[in-house]
Amino acid sequence: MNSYKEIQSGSKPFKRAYVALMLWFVGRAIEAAARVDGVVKAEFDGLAPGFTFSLGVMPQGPTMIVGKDAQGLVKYRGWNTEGQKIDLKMKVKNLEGAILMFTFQESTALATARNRLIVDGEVPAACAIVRVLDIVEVYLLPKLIAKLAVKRYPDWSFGEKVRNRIRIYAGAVLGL
Amino acid sequence: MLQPQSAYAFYSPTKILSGNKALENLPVELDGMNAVKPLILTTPGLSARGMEKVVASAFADSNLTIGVFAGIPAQPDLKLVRELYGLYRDNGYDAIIALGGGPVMDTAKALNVAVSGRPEDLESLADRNPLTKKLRPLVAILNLDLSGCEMTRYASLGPVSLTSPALIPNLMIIDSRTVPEEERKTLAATALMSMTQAVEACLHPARNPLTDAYAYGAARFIMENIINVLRNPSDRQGRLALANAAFFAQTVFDNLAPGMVYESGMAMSRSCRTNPGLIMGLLLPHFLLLEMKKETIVRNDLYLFIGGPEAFAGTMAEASPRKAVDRIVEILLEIQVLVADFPRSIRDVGIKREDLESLIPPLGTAGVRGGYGPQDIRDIMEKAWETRF
Repeated sequence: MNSYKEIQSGSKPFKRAYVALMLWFVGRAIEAAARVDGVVKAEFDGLAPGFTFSLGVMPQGPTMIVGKDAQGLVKYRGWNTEGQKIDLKMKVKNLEGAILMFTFQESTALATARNRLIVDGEVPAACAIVRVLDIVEVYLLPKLIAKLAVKRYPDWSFGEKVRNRIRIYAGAVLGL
Repeated sequence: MLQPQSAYAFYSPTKILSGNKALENLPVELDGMNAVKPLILTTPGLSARGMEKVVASAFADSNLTIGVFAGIPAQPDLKLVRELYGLYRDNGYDAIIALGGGPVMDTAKALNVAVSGRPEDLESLADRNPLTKKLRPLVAILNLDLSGCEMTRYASLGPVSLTSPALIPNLMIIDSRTVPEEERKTLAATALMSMTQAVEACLHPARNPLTDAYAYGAARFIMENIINVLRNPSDRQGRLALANAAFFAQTVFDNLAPGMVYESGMAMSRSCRTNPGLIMGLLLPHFLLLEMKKETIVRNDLYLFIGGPEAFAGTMAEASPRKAVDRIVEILLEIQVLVADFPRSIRDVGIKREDLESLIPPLGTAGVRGGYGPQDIRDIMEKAWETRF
């Protein structure tokens, strides 16, 4: 049996770190967008009080958690799922799938269509979160890249987009 | 008009994951099958090309331990399966990943029978006794060097033949990284084998709407991609299409009994040790011409499968069967231009005319049925021997 060997699965620390950073940033951007953008706010208003969702990578993360508090405000709740009641879990099946999503080679909708995501929870809520992610990506990314990342690029006025973009970046980066 | 037949059955238990990064789904899929320690079986050749490393890299971040046995020979036997049984049991494996076609998959299927019950179950299955236990997870990662039976209920280890629907792999992954470039002759043989399985399925008396759908998919993938892949073997999308076609074709083959061209091609291949796909490709036009002559082509849409919807729509119904044959001959001629030592006739693979008689599959063989008799097969073989494309 000279042709036999056992190997340990390796790791991809740089890709993991990149996805963790993106999830942290997008999580904070969702919190900011829910204050700034009327459509995002309306999407969250349509979800149940205390609604919390997670978006993470299988099998070991990273993960981001976002939820509504008692006052209905949307908050980024970090990465640790321990002790949190999560209504909707969206999990990318593997790190490479997450890289395709977070390097904007595939939109969230396309990744879902290509069977890269597992959704554990209500489908209407998942659809609302996918719409929120699309809007947030439009704010965070230059148009050239955002067009790759979203299903349809929205027809917003330039002034409104720039104003909201500045406020969302300030919220995501500085926590303002 | 498309109408369901009064009764039909179709069986395909395999989950397919095909496309970019499909391989990375392995840990999640194994987890879903309650498997945590897979054993990869492959050949020294594929191992030397780095295929096992590509598969192992898909397990990154999973914290799993993976076993790799890269010593599957071209002619595996029961002795090897017994050795692998000990390896599997002693090291606590709970799933098999077959990386490669032909002998790898034959060994994996046999090993799965042994490890899912007792090693004696193999002999019992070879004696045509049914399997009584559910088999453990078996994953197929196929390349384009195939025997034509990988995704079916059949396996053979030398003189031992195993047949059970339980042998069919649970999961098949088709990822361009594990469908590497092959020699042009190997690619052509695999595609022609799949084409034969698809064409014989769409003319099979027991065909049904699902076998038609699979046969159509296989035929279209092959006809639209084989020439591009032979011209440019680095065409990843084309190779993926041919691998998908092989799965479609093998699934219909598994659901219907083998046809005359398949049976004859296998018999001739055993006699001259040539890839059966090459021989089947040479027999196929003669089989279709015989079907036309005997007027047994009861469907006038064969050209839809072979020529595609646009060509089919532009062809008069009565000319359609002949166009189907012509298109297959055209493809054969194009392949012969692109593959340097592709045989032009059955005689080119070393079969003597006087040997043809002994290669006729006996009456009662699955492919020899209906309106066909030994004389029909003799005619096809002789025409394929005489004719040089």
